[in-house]
Amino acid sequence: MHSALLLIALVFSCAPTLAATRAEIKSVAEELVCLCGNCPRESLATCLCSDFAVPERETIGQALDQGLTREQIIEDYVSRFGPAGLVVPPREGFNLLAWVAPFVALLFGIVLVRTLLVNWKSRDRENPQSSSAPVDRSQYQDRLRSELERYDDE
Amino acid sequence: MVDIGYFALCLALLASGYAVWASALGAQRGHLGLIRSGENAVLATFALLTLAVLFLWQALLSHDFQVEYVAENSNRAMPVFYLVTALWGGQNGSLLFWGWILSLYSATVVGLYRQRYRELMPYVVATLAFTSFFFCIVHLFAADPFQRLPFTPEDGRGLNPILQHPVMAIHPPLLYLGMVGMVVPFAFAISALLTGKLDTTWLRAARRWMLIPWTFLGFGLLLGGKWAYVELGWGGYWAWDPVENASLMPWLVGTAFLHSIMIQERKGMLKVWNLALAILTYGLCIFGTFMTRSGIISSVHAFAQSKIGPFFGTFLVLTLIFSFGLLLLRLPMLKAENRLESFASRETAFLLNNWVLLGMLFAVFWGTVFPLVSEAVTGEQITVGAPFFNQVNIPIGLLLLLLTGAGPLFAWRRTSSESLRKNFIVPVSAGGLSLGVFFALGVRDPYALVSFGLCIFVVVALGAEFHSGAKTRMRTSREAYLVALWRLSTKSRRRYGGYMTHLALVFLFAGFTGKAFTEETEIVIEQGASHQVGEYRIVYQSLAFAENANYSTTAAALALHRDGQFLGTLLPERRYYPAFDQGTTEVSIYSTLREDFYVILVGSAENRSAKFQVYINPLINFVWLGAVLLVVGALWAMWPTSRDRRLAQVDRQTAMGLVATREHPHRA
Repeated sequence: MHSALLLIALVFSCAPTLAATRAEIKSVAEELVCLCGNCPRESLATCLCSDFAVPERETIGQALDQGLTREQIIEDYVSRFGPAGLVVPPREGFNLLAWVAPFVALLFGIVLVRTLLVNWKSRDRENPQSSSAPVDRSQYQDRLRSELERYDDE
Repeated sequence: MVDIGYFALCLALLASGYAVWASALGAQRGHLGLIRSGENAVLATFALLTLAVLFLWQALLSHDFQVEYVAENSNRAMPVFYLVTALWGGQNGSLLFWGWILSLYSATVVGLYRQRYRELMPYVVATLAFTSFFFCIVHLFAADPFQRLPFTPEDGRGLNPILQHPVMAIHPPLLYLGMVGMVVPFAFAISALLTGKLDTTWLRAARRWMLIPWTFLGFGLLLGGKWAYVELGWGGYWAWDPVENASLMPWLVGTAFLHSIMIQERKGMLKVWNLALAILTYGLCIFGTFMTRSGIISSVHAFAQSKIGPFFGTFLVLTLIFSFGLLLLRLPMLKAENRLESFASRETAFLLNNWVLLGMLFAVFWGTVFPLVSEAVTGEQITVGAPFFNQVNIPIGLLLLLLTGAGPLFAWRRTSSESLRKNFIVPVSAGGLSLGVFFALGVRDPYALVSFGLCIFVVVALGAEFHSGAKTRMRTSREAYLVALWRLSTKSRRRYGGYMTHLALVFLFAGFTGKAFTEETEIVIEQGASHQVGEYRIVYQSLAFAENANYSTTAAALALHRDGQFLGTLLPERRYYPAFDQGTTEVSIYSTLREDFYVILVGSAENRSAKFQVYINPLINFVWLGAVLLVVGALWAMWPTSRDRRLAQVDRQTAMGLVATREHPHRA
């Protein structure tokens, strides 16, 4: 039983003393994702998995201590794990499309809305129920329904 | 006993297949007997699937480990409560539960509408039954919950530890009630298209049946956020995970639908659009299921890869082709009946609302599937994480918040410039003034500043709507202010319930904005020592170990103080589940309306020190309050009124007329 309890005690190792502050490490780690394979690609800054995220954060701290820039550290991470290590798609090449498409779609949408509104406004009023057309009972029912609805929503 | 469950599934397949055939043929031939028989087959399907669910529960509770699902998702150490929730803890069981909810919805629709919507009902029943038929095929041929193992294990594997949380008893059922329920408005849309009865009749049924699952889904999503917040131990509640997105997408389209149908009801416009939205909402529910259960996208919630992917993929494609094909065929019957009188009108506001919601939908959809698109094109795997969704969706979300307040200030048909000035001046001034106040209070983040300003704008705009309505009633009915306010809200439930959900959105945005001010720190303290975190002081008192048959746990006791006053003892835990060889984080939270003090036990060292991760999450409780208000507002809006009773009476009279006509055609 004691060994089982030791297992769950989750002994944390004493991290090497780093000059880089936790905030500096976090600011770099936020750009990266944990690739331990167990978590759903959580941010490297917040993931608690001790077999990947914790040592990688220490590596970032050591790299900052050695004077590497954040870009160099991120580049090194990507060179080791591929672009999947970045928390967002790189803003270059095909992946730029990820960033641009939502705003292009919004722009397209507003043009569509504007066109629709202009068309609606310029349309001649249609008269869906000609006075000479025969009116059956269901039309009266529909009208009654819509007027009941309108009355209560006013 | 499980054989009876399997047999019930086989019979449910036959019953639902028969319901499709009888209802469709009955509708074509105008044969009332066949139509009623189809409806009865739907009730039979519900009864049979209920039997199947009960037998799976029985297998879980009696530890029948020869059933593969029971062995995979339960064990002897699990408390009864989690044995019950294990029904939806794994792939096959949750699909059976999904199918059962579908049959419950179908049976409810059949039961309620024996005398209403009679022209639409046969194809509504056929559509619902066809969906049940598909699910029965999946249960029997791709995800059999009663599959037997060739041997009987001594014990089962157990339920995934992260699912062993009380919220998990409610969160998945709510999501299923939401996702599955979207089939009902879809069925009414399909029936309207098939029968050619494209007036507002289908819309009235679809509105209520959209509102019900929309409420379940919205509340389920937020409850899932609560679960993530307290169980996953990363200080947040929404990670833009593919499964979260899969549930959010139909909710967004459902929201657009609930707004745009008002234009059709009042003006006879947007007929094609509303049908398309009903189809899209349902399509997105199936897409979400396909995406998360086929294993094509990695997710925290993803079920193990299985063979159901092709089933759902095929079903989705066929459904979309059939539905949109039908819509195209009916285009000539779907002409708008009116024209727009003014750009400054509620109609324009609703169109803009649809634009923003669909824009957000596209952004979420695009971000969710982009890893697949990118890998297919470039051959490289990429990640689209939360920062992408936040960066893209925050500006769109702020636009939505603006419209939440601005929409109700526009009148239907046209709003005169005088009314515009009168309606907007107070909310805009309040919003503008609040920007200055928040800036003076130290808020510098531009998005947060805009969000807070818009929250005040919307609250004042909605408050003014309630106030002016009450004032009008006071004048006309000589009622006291509070009485007038109450009667106003109860008389026009739909409108004021809608405003309550708008207010819920303000609460949600206030909570979301608080995220910009989260403070996070990691501390190492020795037992007996204390540490200052912001305004709080924590004293690490002790560390305790315990174990039961299900898990072992390490818990730290921390005394929390503020301004020298003892606030309480926090007990963050780390649990270890041997059956899964997996640990979980049980956070401890001191909660106030202003903020949460949120502690995670990271680990402990042999020198009696322990490491904690601490978050101070301002305004987060507004998210949970917003969730409650969302439900209250939706219930308020959907609660039956005297108008509904009168409409039901009209429908019954119509139905009786139709029945009389069919049974005695010579009298027609």
